Formats: sequence, C-alpha cells, structure tokens
Amino acid sequence: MGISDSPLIASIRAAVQDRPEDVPLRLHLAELLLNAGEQADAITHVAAALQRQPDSVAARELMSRAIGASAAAASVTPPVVAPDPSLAVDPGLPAEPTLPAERGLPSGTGPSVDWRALEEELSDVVPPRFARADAEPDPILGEADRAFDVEMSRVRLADVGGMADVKHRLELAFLGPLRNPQLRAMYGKSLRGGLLLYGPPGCGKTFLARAVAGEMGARFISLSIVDVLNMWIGNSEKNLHEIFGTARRNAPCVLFLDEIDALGHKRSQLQSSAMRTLGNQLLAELDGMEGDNEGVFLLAATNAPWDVDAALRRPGRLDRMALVLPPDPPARGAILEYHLRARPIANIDLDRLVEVTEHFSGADLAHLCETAAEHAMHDSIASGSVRMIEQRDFERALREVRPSTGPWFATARNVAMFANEGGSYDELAAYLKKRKLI
Amino acid sequence: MVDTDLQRARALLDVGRHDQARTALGQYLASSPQSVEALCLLARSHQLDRDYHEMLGAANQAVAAAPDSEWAHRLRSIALGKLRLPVEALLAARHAVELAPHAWQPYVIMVDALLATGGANARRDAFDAAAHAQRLAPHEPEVHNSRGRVFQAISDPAAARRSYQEALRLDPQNPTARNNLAIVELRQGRTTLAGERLGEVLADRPTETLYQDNARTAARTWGVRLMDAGSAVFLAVIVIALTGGGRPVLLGTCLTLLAGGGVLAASRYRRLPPALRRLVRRDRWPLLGAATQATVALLVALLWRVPGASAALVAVPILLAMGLAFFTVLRVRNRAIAAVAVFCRRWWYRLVVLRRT
Repeated sequence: MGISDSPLIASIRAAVQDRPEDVPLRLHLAELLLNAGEQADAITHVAAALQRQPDSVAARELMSRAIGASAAAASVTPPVVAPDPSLAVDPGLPAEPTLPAERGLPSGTGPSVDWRALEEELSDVVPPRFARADAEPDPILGEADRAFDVEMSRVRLADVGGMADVKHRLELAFLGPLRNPQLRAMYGKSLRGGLLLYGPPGCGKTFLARAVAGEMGARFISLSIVDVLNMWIGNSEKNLHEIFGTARRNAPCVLFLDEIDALGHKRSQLQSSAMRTLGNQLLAELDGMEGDNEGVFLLAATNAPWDVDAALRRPGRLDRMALVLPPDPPARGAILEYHLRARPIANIDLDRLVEVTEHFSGADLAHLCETAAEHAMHDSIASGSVRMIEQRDFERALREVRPSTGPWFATARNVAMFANEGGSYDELAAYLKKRKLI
Repeated sequence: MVDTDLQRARALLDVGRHDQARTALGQYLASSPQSVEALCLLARSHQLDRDYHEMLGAANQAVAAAPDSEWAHRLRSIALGKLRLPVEALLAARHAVELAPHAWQPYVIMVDALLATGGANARRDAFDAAAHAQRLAPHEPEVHNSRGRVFQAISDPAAARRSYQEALRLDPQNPTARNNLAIVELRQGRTTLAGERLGEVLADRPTETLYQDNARTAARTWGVRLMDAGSAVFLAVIVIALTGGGRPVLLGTCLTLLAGGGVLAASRYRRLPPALRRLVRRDRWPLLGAATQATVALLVALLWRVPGASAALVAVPILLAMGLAFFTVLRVRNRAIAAVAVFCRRWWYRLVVLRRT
C-alpha cells in the first residue's frame, strides 16, 4: 500500500474536497503529500492555495520546496536538461544528465541519506559542475577605509565558453610569459602593458577579466566609472593613485578598468576639468611614473573603444585590443544550460535554441530563459496546475526577446568603415565582413 | 550631497553617460526643483540625445524657474530651432542676448536662428551678430565657426574658408571647423580635398551621423566629377568628328584624353582616405555614367565614317551620341545657371545688403 493511500491523507483529501477554500487545510495536505514523495500532487494543491492566497508565505515556502524536489527528480529523467550542480563539467560542453547509480551513489531519496552533508563533505574533492558567472569572489585584503576590494577570483578561462581567439591573445600577452619566467627573461618580454577588451554589451568582458585573474592566480581589483563618480567625486586622483599603489603592493595583480571609455574619455571632448585631471592621472599611473608597474596586469573593457583617448592606447599602456563577440554556438549552449540549471524544464530542444539565438549576447540569453520561465509560471498560476518550462515557452519568449547587440553593431559598422585607418579595428572589420554587415 | 549629484551629472554628461546623468539630475531636482542649473543640464542631456521635444520641455521649465537666465533662453532657442520653429527660436535667442549682452554665446545662437529664418535682412543681421560675437571673444573657435556659416550663407566661400581656418588655428581638433571647411571645398569643386578632410573628421568622430552623411555626399560628388570628365572626353570627340577631323585624329584624341583622364582620376582616387574610396565604389551610378560616356566616345571614334560600314553600324553610335549629348548639355546648362546664381548672390550681398549696415 502506497503511503499516499494512508488513511490520514485520504481523510484530509476528502476534507479538502469538501472545503476547497480552506487554505491551511490544503497546505497541510500538500505538506503530507510532499513528505510522502508525491511532488506533483503537492504542487497542484499549493498552486490552488496560492490562487486563493497569493501572499501566503507558508504556501510560497512549500512551493519552493515542492519545485526543488520536483527538479531534483526530473534531473534523472532524460531528456530534461537540469544539470546537477554537484558535478564538474566544462561549461563549454553540453552537460549530460547522469543517473545517481552511475555515480556510485544509492538511488532514491530516502531519509537515511543526508545529501547536504555528503555534498559538503565532497565539496573539496568534486569541483562545482558549473562556474558561477555572478560568483562574488572572496575579499582577502580589504581595508576598512578603502573604496575597493582586492579579491581572489575562482573563475578560470576554462569556465568561459567559446572566445577561442581572445583566449589565444590572452595566452600570448599575459599567461604564457607569466608561466615561463625564464623564457620571458631570455626574450626580454616585459609584463607591462595592458589589454583592452571591447565588444557589444553583455558578452562577458568582465567575466573574462575575472577568469584571467583566476587563471593567473593573481589578485583582482576592479574599478569603474560608477565607483569614481559615486564614491570618489572630489577625491578621485588620490583614490586612483591609491588603487594603483594597492595593485603594485599585491602584484601579481589584475587591475580591471571597466567602462574605460568613461574613465579615459577622449580629452578633446571633455569639458569638465575634474574628468580631464582624472584622465591625466590615469595616464601617469599607467606609465608607472608613481611606481613600478611590473606584475600589474592591466585589463580594461569598453563598449565604445572609439571614445577612448588615443593616449591610453600607446605602447606600455593599453597597447593591445581584443574583440569580445557575442557567444558562439558552444558558448550559447553552455550559457543556456547555466541559466536553466536550477529551473524545472522538460523537453527543451537545446540545439534549436542555440541555432536561433545567433547574435544574442550572454545577457540576452539570460533574459530569454527568464522570459520563458515567466510564461510557464503565468500559465501555472492561470490554470492552477503547475507545469515545467517547455519548448513552447521558449518559442514564445523568442518572439519577444530580440538580440540587443544590433545597435552596437550598427555603430561599430561605421567605426570599421570610417575610423580604421591604422588597422585598430581590423578584427571587427573582418567579423562584420564575414557576417555581410559591411 | 546635492552638489555632488550636480557634479556627478556634469561629469557623466561629459563622458557620454546621458541616462545616468539624468538619474543624478533627477535626484538633485527632487531636492531642488527650481534649480536652473540642473534644469539646463537636463535640457543639455536631451540635446545630446537629439531628443529636442524633451529638451524644449526642460528648457521651458528652466525659463519658468529663472526667467533672467541667459543659458535657459539659449537652450530654448536651440530646441526651437531644431524643432523647425525659427521665429520662436529667434525670439528666444534675442531674449538671451538682452539678458547677457556681453557674452558671446547668445550671439552665436542668434546667428543660427537668423540664418534659419532666411531672407536678406536676416542674413545682414546675422552678419552683424557674428561680427559682434567676434569682437567679444576673438579667441573662441565657435565664434569663427559662426562667422564662417554666415559667409557660406551669403555665398562667400573664400571668407568662410578664412573663418574656419582661424577656428582651426585656435583649436586644431575642432570638428565643426574641419567639417565646415570640407563643405566649403566640396561646394567649390575640390572634391578630393573635401574627401580628405572629411576622412580625417570621421576618423576622430566615426559615430557622428552628420559627418557620415557629408562623407557620402562627398563620395557621390567625386563620382559625379568623374562623370563630368567622361562628358568632357565625349564632347571633345563629338566636336572633332563634326568639324571634319579624320579618323586617326579622332581616335588619337579620344585615346589620349581617356588615358590622361584615367591616370588623373586614379591619382585623385588614391588620395582619398580608404573610407571615402569605399563609399565612392559603393555609389555605382556616377561610375557607371562615366564608364558609359567613355565607352560611347570610344565607339564613336572607332566607327565614325568607317569605309564600307553598314547603315546600322553608323546609326548606333550616332544615336548613342545624340542621347548622351542631350543629357550632357542639360547638365552643363544646369551647372552654369547654378554658378551664375551663386556669383550674383555673392555680389548682391557684398555690394547691396551688407553695405546697408
């Protein structure tokens, strides 16, 4: 006799049928069903309760528990793509669902096994299955009066899907010389200079910078125009000097200048003397006039490299440029899997999604997953029956979410046409030509 | 704290973060809703986004908050001018001048408003206002740019060129002066030089649509000049044919002119910046026109009075030549009329209108 057939559940079920408006009774039944392993039935009752009392905290908590249990159960049933976060997989490769039995673990979810304790115990042995793009690295050298943190990044280049050309460029400019100090000395290769990452918004420039720091085992300091204008106004030169000083003291250190087009805007276009002075201070720091920059790796990111002051791109400063394009098909697959990892999904045709999302940025793909989830949730609330996110939700979402990279490429096209005299944008021009955009 | 918001907004506007600047201004205006500086910066942020309706709204608020603010009236004039309300724009500019008669900025705005209204009297007033602005601030490049625009409006390209060159002397990177100087060269038929100048401006400001459009115009004009060269060769061949020149003379002249023209065009083409060359190549109609005229000229030279030629062989080049001759004469006539009109306008302004001041 199944536990769901227990006299207690049967009586409460009958009571709920008699009094469908009694939310606490329905929630009690849902909890009993959930404990009995009847997730689907439990979800239906919680959804009915939520229809009557959308603000009920107890109902929401129960729904979270029920959906979590349902997603865990679904992860062992191909072809649902719901990656188990406890497995280590390169995000560049599609994840394959693995049965618990194949992992040498007992099947079933009996109360005798404390899965959380097991996961914690194995967390040092088995790395996480997916790298977290939004993971906040641990601050290790923060000082109380400082407006920035020196962090240790755990992200690696292998966690970055696609971008083979950019990775190659990084290997040549930074990683190779750093790993081979003797060869570096023989060839007289300095560790000075920097790399400017540019490309459409939302394509992972910041994530890539963190990955470089993680790959080097270097510390990571990030600075953006928001920091300067929100916290530093009136004191920006001193703070900029301090941030470079900290990077030098913590060498090897990756100093990441986000939105460099604002920090180092073309001085000829600046009217505010504060921003002009900040630009001059940045140039002085990059030249190491205030200290030796050996071991300070400068990475900068921008959506508008054409607005960056030419002086910043001279040798020894940000002397190399790398184009970070929208994700290629393997990267799109990995990003979609990442954003679907904790969502209840069923029968998603990942190959088709990858095919129809060309030109989508990483942020667009995240938005697509979010929109598909919204549709599924809306249906669940309207019908009172909870269902998984399905392919049809993605088809609807695809009609609404368009790639946000279009305007950037329209501008970039003009730049490649009119401002490529020195060959700075050859890579961009070649890409646009290949895509017949120029 | 609120002053910090204003400083932040100014810096954000400077580095092209217009939305963020508006957020900072919103925060400031929440505590100081009558701040004319914040309202003017708000109008300026909309101007930079080319949203002139919003700009006018913010400028109107600024004028309401501080009716004696020259900056507010000036911004209002700019917005009205962009919204094609020249009379209202001129009134606002005059208010600004009355409020700050010793500042050069309102005069420059008034010059633009006057030029937009059109008419001889307005141009004469614009000429005076530009001269006055120059007396107030001879070290300001924008004053010379403004004067250059007046000279262009009264068809005096030499004086306009001098004004823009003075602006460039004061600020060698000034994009307005570089662009306007290129336009002067373009209107004077120096298409290659104009193309070179526009290429330089665009290399510095590749995202400015005005400069892109001007570059496209320059590329098209360059192609049309090539077509004119084809017309000249064609006309020369026709004249020699009709005046009884023999076949060797006809063929020799035609080949010499085509080869010489080709070498000249190639050298001019190489002087153009790569971006302009690409635009010239893209605009196929003028190139096709030039190639057609050169081909017809060659055909006429080859087939003119060929001994034993069939009637059809004689008729084809004659018909082609007649068709092309019609269009060539039409174009020459239009251009001659335009040149005479410019010449007359220039001297009418010099001798009659400007002397009245």
